[in-house]
Amino acid sequence: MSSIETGKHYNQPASNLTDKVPPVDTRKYFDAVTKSLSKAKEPPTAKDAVSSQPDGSSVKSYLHIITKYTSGMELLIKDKELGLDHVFEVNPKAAPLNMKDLIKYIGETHVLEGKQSAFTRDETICPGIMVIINECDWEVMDELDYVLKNDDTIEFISTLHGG
Amino acid sequence: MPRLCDICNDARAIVRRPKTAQSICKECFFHVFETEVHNTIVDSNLFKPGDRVGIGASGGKDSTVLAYVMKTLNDRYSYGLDLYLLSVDEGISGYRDDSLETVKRNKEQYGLPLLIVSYEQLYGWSMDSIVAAVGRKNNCTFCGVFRRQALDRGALMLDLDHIVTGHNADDVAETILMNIFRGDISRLGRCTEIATTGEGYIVRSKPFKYAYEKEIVMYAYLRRLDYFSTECTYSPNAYRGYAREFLKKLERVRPSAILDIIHSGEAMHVAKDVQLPSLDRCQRCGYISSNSICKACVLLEGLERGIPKLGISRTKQDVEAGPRESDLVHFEKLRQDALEMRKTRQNSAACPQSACACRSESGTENCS
Repeated sequence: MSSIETGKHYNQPASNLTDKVPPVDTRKYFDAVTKSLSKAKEPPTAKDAVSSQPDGSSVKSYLHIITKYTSGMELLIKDKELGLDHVFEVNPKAAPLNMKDLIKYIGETHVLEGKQSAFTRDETICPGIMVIINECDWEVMDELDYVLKNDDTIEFISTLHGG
Repeated sequence: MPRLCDICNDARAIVRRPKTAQSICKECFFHVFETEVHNTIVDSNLFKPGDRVGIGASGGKDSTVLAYVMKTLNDRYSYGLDLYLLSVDEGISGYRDDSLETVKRNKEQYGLPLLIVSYEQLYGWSMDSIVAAVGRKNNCTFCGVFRRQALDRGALMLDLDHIVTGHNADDVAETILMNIFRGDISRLGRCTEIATTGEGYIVRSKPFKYAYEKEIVMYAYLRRLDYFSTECTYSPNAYRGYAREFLKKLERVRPSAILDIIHSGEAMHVAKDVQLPSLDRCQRCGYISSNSICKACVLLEGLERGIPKLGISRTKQDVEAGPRESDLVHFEKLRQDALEMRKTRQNSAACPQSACACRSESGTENCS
């Protein structure tokens, strides 16, 4: 799977998000979204979230997540990306983000129109897609209830494509 | 809360086995996966020392893992096999040409000689040209019929004793379901066998018959194997797609479902008084066939006469029986050539590989 290493985003340094000022050249790769967990309203655009950072309000915290798509999964993703960076703004008082939220978010935001049913179904990942959290089968973790941590890498690997 | 491995109780568990529901670590996973395949091979007596074994290689996950595991086990347990990679190029641009690049890299990575046989070279038609002629409706029929024969032809060109394919437990369970749904009794019997004798003396087997797809993908992932995955650019097999989706849903609720279906399939037997079609030889190309003219020859005749429905629609076939010049190299000729190669090889004791047909492909790297 050498192709992964050549993926567009992997050579970018993981920005230190706790510093609240991401390096300028990696900012454009961030697909940032503010996630209000009480009731998700309209997902704000990347611009909103990033521009809200330099105001230095100490209440905000950010969660940086990398997602990767291989073994045919990239065909479901807009622009056939092999990997994406995400920055979520999280409210420390609300329930933490878990895999269920992430799968819903990816399905709504990054999966090609009309392909959503091949990615998520019944509020979980479709059968036949393996989920790997930090190089570990998510079935060993807590699957949908796994609470995301900063700099987690989540990989989606299809098992359905040709042998 | 990292979990410890259920087997060694030492390292961190990183995969859950669908077969046993154990959470195990990387090293234990490699060990149990490889050992189970080894046990399948030994228990079924698949090989004899000195066998020439071709690995049907598509560049996809299953065959890439198969090539890696076969090479590893052959070295570790001294099976004494001569391993070859055998690939079929259907001539589908944007799909097979890319995956064959992967096979060519595998050839270097594993140091195995590679033979690629193409539809173009064997039949005079690539899948691209077939689709141009017949459209996208029945093209998969052509591809399936041609592929089976192509592997046998390639195997004779290399004088192989045995072809192994990467079919896994999920594939076998799927095929059992499909054959039940279609009422195909004779195929139902054959698809559960781990090894079948096909063309002449060439055995075909599935060492991954009991290996779950999830474990194969996990193995490829953890070993960082180089494989290729894209959907065929031509229409997917819809019927198999439904069976596969159904099976994946079953697996989620009850992971043993896949092995259970295989078990059921193995336990089903055709009653003794049921007449199964007897196998004969095609009058044109000499391939094993239940009709006087094999399906590949019928399909080819349809293509050449501009009636591609020949052999597909249920209307009465008007293929002229009897000997007619075939465009295919006759299997008798291939078998003779293979026998010649075998004799030459046996006579030249100094260099047992000297007559090997893949020599042009592999150079002299296997010759001592």
